[in-house]
Amino acid sequence: MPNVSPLPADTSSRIHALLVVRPDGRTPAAFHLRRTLAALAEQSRPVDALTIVVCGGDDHLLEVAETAGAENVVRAPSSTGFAAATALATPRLQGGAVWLLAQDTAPEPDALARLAGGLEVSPSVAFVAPKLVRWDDRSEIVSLGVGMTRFGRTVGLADGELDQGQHDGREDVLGADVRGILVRADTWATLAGLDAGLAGADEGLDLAVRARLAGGRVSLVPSALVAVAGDGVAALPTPITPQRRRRAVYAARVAQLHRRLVYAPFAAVPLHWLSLLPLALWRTVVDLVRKQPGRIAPEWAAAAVALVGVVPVARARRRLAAARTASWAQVTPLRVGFDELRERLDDEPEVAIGGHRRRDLRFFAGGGAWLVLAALLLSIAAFPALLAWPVLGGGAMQPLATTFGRMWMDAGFGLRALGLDTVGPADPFAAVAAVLGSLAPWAPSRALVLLWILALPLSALGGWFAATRVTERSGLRLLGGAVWALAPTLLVALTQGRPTAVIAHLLLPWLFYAGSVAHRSWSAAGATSIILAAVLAAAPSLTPAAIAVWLGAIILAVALRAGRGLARLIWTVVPTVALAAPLVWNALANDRAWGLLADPGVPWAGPQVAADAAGRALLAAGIPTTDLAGWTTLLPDGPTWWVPLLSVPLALLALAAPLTQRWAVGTALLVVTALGLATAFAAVGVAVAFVQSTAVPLWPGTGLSLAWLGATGAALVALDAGLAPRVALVRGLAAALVFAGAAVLAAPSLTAMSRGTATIASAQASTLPAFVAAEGRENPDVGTIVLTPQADAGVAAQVVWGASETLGGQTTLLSTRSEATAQDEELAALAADLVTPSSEDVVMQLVDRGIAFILLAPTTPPETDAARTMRLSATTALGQRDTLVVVGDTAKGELWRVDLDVADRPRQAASATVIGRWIAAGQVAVFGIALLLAIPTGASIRAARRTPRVVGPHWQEGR
Amino acid sequence: MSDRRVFRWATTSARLLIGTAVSVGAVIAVVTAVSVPWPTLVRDPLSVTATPAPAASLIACDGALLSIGRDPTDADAITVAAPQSVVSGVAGGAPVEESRLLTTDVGPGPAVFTAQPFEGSAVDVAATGSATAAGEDLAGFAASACRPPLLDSWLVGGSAATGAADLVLLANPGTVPATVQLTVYGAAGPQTPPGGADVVLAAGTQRVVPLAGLVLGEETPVVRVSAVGSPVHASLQTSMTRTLTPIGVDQVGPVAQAESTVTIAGITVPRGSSGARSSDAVTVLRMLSAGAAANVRVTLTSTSGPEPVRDPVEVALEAGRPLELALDGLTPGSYTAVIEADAPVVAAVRQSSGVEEGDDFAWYTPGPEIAVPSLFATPAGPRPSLTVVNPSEEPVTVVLTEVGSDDPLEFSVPALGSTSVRLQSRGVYSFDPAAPVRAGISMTGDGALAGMPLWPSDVATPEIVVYP
Repeated sequence: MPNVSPLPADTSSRIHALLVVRPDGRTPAAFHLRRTLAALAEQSRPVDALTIVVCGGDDHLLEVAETAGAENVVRAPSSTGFAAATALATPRLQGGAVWLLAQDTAPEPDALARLAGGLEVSPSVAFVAPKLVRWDDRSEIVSLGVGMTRFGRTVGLADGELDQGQHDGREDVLGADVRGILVRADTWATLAGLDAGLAGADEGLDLAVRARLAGGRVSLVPSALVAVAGDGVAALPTPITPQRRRRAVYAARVAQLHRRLVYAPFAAVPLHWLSLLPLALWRTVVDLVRKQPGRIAPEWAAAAVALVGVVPVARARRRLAAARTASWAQVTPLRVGFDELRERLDDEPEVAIGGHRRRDLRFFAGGGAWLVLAALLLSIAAFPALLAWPVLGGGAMQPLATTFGRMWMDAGFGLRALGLDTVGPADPFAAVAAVLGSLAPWAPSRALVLLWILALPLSALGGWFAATRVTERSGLRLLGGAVWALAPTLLVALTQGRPTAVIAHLLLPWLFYAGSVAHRSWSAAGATSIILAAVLAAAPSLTPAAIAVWLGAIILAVALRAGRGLARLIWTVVPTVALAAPLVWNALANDRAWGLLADPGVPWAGPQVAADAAGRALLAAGIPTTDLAGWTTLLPDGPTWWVPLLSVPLALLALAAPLTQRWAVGTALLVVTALGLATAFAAVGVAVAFVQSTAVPLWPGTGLSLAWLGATGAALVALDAGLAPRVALVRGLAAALVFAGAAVLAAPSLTAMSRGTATIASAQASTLPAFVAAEGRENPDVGTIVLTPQADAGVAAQVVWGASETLGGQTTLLSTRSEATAQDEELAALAADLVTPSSEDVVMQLVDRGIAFILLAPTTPPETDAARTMRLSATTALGQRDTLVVVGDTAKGELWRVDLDVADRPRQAASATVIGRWIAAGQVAVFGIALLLAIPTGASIRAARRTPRVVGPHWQEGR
Repeated sequence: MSDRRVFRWATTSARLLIGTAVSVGAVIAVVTAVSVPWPTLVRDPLSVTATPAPAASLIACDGALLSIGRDPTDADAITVAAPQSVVSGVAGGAPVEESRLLTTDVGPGPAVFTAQPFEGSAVDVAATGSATAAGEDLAGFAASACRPPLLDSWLVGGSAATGAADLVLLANPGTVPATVQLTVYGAAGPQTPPGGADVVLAAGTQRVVPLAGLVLGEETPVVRVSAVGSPVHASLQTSMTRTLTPIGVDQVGPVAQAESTVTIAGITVPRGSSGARSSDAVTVLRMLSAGAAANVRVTLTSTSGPEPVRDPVEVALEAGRPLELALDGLTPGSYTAVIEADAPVVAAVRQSSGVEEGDDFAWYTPGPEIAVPSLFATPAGPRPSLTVVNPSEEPVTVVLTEVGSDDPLEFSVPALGSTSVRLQSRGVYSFDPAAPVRAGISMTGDGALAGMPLWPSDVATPEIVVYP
């Protein structure tokens, strides 16, 4: 080793290097160590003593260390941190300065000389710090000075910047990275070394703060370069793996909380300690909004460690107090101010060279707004009477609950609004209905009317946005929006009055819009998760198809993207699971698993195709009803064989999609179409719900909506990528043909209201007589038993609580029961006693159950003889009872009132209330997380701009 | 070809090939899926078969024989001509409560028997009443069974012609008022006369509506009684005078429903009858098909033999117009009339012993099918006989037990035949057939003719299918 400068005889100017080696997992410790040792050996001003602390590691590493010519080699367990390792070596220290090194810190040959020079020129300096640069690229700064905000947050002053000498003038800093610092030995002794309570982060900053409080200064020597690899032995590791990322977040947070507790005035320490958990919660919210959910667990772990780490804090506070000679005012001028901080945050990272720059959306310029406006006008022209209707009825429509509280009560676990004493989880759809009603809290049922009027424009909007994921061409986006709004399933659902199908159809394009990029960003994943929960709540029959698509996406993510974005894809189903879990649990426990497929809301056996080949052929043509989407009513005598052919242009274009250059997207969309058709084919043959004595088959329209989505998307792909630029005319003609087909198919449904063939109708605010509705407005627990004579001489019995049956109050717990329960037996006995002149005091049983009204509802016409006999006998039997007072014969049936003091409705068990609260809390938490993730931030929007709007590979292989 | 062109050619070809395969596969999959049968899953609606709690058994009697117009100053006044003596009984020693209805404008009216359910089941209660009148305007023997009130009943019998003083008796034994509509079917078809529309019966009352006030002059009326609000017990008191001579009286019970096969059992042609000499034919069958025109076939069988006593008569009924058919020339004895029609019909047979003073007549109404053990009572008066008709092709064993005695009488009714049994007056019997039969009681004495069918007990409450 050539000695460039003579050895200082004075021990006070001797420099003792402390080198800590700790192989962590797969890090190439020996390789790094050799380079570091070689760099040490090449120092122009050699170290006077070298102590190597080997924490764990194999014999090979030890051999490398022992042959390095160190004065001491200390062995320590592998769990020893940097601070503890330096503390182990401290007793062997000799000389006037300590140079803190790790296995991965290779100094430039003149580094020590410049550092020692920096220490010599200014006696007030406690330690000097070099410029840390990247191991493999010296032009990039890893760290050059560390600052701290007023609240103790660590701020790297030049981290990650390209070194163009822009910071070389800086000397006086608050702190520095611990790697490569040269500390005066007396300061090192006074300050008692590094603080082991910091978990490895901010050790240099903490040392600097304590040095300042002891009256010293910290100075940078930017001309001294030390290359660091970020193994994580000293300071934080380079976050290249998820594990290291978690460790870095954990260590940084532990260090921050530790420093906060140590630096705070004694009186404030308990307050800081108490604030640990609330702050952790707040940090969770912030992390979610920042789309960094991976930080949540390490930060909670850090909070937990800080919560119990009283001893390290006390030790560190003692150490600080022992050395302290100056006041905190010494530190204040060096803190990073908010202005500087904001400047640093606003720095937008440069768009990578060759990266994608997203084009403008062109919603207005591309005609999307005009499409929505046109759809609105068409909707008003098609459903003019709706503007005047306060409540929508007919089909599967019912009013919504009249109050905000009642709607959300219906969406939670507990007493249901139907049934004698049904306690259980709500249908997920009740939450959707509650959200819908909450949009117009002064008259929730009005929200449903508005939804009907806005259904066409909203679906045009959704279709347009979904099309932006497939094509950049404005014309094709317009076609996508128009075809989606004119889908026969939507229009039939609108005229028949099927709210669940309409909501599912309105949400599906948004699910496609967000879900197709869910693997890219947390924002999209959050939005997807919420929309998916709503779609499956409205259309549970889509669940098998959704599971298939989800599994496919996961397989693709693992196979093509090496698992990147997997956590985001997995998250997309979490809110759905949280929302449906109570119902699924109940269904499995009660042996009615098939009932989970049932359409929620009002069970209604409306007209739809049969489960035969003819019905499936109509479904394949996109038509869910046997009246050919209304054409048989429009042309009762004319030929209608051509109607199913109207969707052939769309189908042919969709089938051409896999042949285009964007065959991957085309194939995926065809698979979605096939899944939708399979869902529809299966749905027509499944009837798991029932109303009164009628089985209610699943509505195939929701499956058909999914198929329509896939087919429309595939057709757009074929039009977008399947035609050479010179045949733009052909594209226009094909698009016009598809649009014309959809428009002709839609014509009967759009005119159904004016022709009087629509099922929807204006309704009153209650499904019960006005007398009960008036009582129920005051008291939501007024009970009515509704008896409906059936065509087969039986009688249907239903208990309704409150002013009306409501859309949100419907429950598949009742409509999909597979076996009669004790309650059913009791209700059946009550009903049988009520419709016969039995001598038992059945009215007293009603009183005990809290039922105040008896409604003998008319049968669905035509009334059979058996039903008439039952109605007359029931009328007579009820009329014979002197404890019943006849209220009157209303349009909704004959009503009797119980002329006794009716008991209150039996309360649910306290345990059910507790379960309900826990379920509600869990669901609110999950949806809160999803919402926080979904809220776009500036950063997430910037990140999205760097990705193409259109999804899927696009091979430019030429032609 | 350069490598680049080869590559381009190869990728394009591969893409087109695979794309075509995918599209063709999609088409084949859809076509196959359309044509092959898919599994279906259809859940039956949940239903619970519930047995209603037993109801109280309630029967109402017809009441005393009434006379209209005895007071010359008040031609509409109704007075009691002869009180009714009632025989009643219950099965199994259950308690029974007897009360009286109030006959509007007359006073205490017919008896009502109420039996609350006993030991968890409804109680079968039976009662029957009889009365003998011997006035200047009213003479003869009348007997009728007390029946449960009905929402819908038919009164087949009587006349509103000169000489008849028929009264429609409407009793409401319930606890709430009933509103009754009387539809009279006559030669002019069905009509609802003003006096028969919306007749309000207060709870616990009986009202008397003169038939002549409804349809004056109608010779063959059939009255349909429809009640709303509460079931009512309807019956008809019919009496006849020829010039100034009363030639009989009867109380005609209700017919519960029209049937396609009507069996009237126990028609008794008394000795000393001298055949038809006037419009008051000895044996007359009155029939009505209310809803539709019907072809009927009337078969008359004697109790003593299985063969019809004469060839069956076939006649056509007009819808809504009653038809009378004279069954002349019967030798004394007991007969059964079977009316088979291609639409539901109601019918009854009038049998008179003559048109001289001291004669009497009776209306025999159809007997419903009896398949369950049923209780009946025999009235005071001539010794009754029970005629059991077996419509099936197998002999049926019937066990007849007088309540209170443990000496059952067991007899067999031949296939497609009938059997008559003599009973005690003022007795209560339990009638237990092994298979469905029809039966009637007839009483024949000197100047006394009466008959009534047996009704099945309705204590077995029917199960109701409830869809909860």
